[in-house]
Amino acid sequence: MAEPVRLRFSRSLYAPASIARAAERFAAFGPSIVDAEADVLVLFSEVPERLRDRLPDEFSNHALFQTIVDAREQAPQ
Amino acid sequence: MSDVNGLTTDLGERRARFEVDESIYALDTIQGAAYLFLDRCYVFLDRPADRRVAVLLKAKGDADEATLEALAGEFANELLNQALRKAVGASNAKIREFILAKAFFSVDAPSSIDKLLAELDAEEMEPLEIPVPWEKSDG
Amino acid sequence: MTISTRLTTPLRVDPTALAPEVGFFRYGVVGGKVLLTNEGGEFHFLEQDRFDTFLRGKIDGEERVELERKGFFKTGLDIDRMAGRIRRKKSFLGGGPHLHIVVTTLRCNHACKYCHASRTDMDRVDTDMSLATAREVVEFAFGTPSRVLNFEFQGGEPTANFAALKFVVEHALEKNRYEDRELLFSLVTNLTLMDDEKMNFLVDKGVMVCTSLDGPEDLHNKNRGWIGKGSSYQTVSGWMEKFNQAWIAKGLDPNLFHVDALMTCTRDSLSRGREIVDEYVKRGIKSIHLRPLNPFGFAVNTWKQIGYTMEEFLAFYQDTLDYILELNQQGIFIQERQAAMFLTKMLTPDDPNYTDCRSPAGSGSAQLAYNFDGSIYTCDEGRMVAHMGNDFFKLGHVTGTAWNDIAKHPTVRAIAVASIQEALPACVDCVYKPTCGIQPLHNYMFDGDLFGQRPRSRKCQEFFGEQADLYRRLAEDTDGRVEKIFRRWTIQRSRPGTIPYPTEGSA
Repeated sequence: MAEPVRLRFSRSLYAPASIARAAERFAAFGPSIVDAEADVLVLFSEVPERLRDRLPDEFSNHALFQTIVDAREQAPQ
Repeated sequence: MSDVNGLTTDLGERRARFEVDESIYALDTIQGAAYLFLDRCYVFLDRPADRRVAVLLKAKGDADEATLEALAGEFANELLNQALRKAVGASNAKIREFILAKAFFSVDAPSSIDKLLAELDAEEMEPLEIPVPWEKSDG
Repeated sequence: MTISTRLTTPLRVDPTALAPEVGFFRYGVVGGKVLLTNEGGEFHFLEQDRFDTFLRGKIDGEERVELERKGFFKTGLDIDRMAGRIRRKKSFLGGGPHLHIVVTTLRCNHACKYCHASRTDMDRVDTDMSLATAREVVEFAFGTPSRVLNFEFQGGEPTANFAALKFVVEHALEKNRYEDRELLFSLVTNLTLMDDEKMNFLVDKGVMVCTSLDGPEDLHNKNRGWIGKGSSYQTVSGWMEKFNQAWIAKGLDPNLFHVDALMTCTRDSLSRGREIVDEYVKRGIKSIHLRPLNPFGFAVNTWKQIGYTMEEFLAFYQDTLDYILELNQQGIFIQERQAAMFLTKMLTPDDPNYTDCRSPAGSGSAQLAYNFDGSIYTCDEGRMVAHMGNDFFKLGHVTGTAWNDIAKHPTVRAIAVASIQEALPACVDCVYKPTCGIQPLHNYMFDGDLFGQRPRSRKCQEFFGEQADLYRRLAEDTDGRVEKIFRRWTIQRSRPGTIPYPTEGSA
């Protein structure tokens, strides 16, 4: 079995709830989320070989997108 | 390493990395700039130290050094523009709230602007609360 | 020249230079100048080297007076005027749905390559709206609060079930004897099932007709496959002329009463913008809407043949608009409808209330779509999503759903919240924010996310590019000739002869 694809996000920069929402969109790749102290770890266990390089980039963009959208929605205008 | 618009930028394969001082550019300013780049490249944020944000821009395809420098330069420039927008917003927050309240809540009584601004400060009002009066009230 | 659609601002600024007396503004670089916009719908161009002077509050003289008048400084700010302008710009908020799309049938005798309406073959009479349902549609529409009710007939091909169309018109006119709303009727039709009887009814009752005309005959017929018959173009041309003559015979102003047309831009259209405009001018049509293709519906399968990038579309748009302006300068009046919509926002205190370009969006609140079976949807795209198996945009049914249920429906609220620009990154800061709008259904259909207005969503690219082009033309308009033409495009003329109720002796 291939090693899971691992990503680490600083929770001071990426909102954990937003990462979770982003992970739902990537459900097909078998995400699981681990809360570490300063970071949130996301592991993808079902990633086809041809996508192993690209998935971290695409998911990271999506996680950042979701963090910013959620923050904007809640921010005073 | 190169200096791109005042940010020390590390250029690698398909990527440009630089660090931003969060005491100069607040996180929402960095996020505001980052958002505009999400369609063009991959954007990663990391925290190498307290009050420091590392920004890594990774090209979606092949990119030479000049392209990466230009990308980083554009990001650095956008940080300035985002900071300016934030300053404009902060400088005008109260007057905007007052104007919008007047526009949508029909504040009638003439009064000095200072008094009305003080009244607004005292109120707990959610900004830009746009009512939807087309709902019938008998529902 | 290409239209710059960059979202970042190519301007080096000093955020610490901002003087406290500078008012609220958004800005961007257009046509080599700095464009300022504000919530009241005002705009101003500054030379780039003056922008820093403006930020420092050091602009003086006539330009200072002008900037203060427009509300770009706190000093001299007329708060009542600004509040009044904002209230007027958002006056659509109190309205309720004015546009009621009635899908009389899904049957259609065309198979257009880009169709994104759900359609069925002509033998599928089970997809016709019954008269009982048509009655309930009218009752429901009159139960909504808008002073204006515009019944717009769509399909399929709506004239394939003319009985339902006729019933809606007659019942609405009768009901309006007691209601006194402003009633409008419009029919979107391919004209290939038209006959004299139908035409006479439509003309007599004041139903305005809009058809598709994609350009010269070969282009039109290539795009619009008329199943088993001859030239769609020839039939459309013939009926357009007959309708126009019928209105003239009634003594109505042909500038106001004529068949309108829409075109859809396919790959083949991109190199033929000028010919398409000439086709419209030849027929005396005063308005053309250069509509880009959306990769929805049939177009998903035919995209490789007929699709293009938004950059390609914007190049076509710019070149065709150049030609339209040339014609206007020669005294031939023809406007581009999308431009006219944006220009109304830019150059007048009003908002044209175009439901697909406002904030919050109008789906479910300014427009409703009634399917042949009486189901109510937020809009026609919502109906299409349902046809693909997703009922998210279905709001209820004409029997059993009250208007208040629609107004409070979570989907309607979600669409409103997802389209408030102040809550969307990038949109909140965009220089075109005051004149732009969001259509969350497009986001949903592209990305599966109602709330995610992506930085470069196709709709953002389209709206951004078009507004950039219009503002650029204004920035470069040193003698005011272009602005003069643009202002003519913003003039709305009502149709004084529209019959509000049946006349004595009419059918």
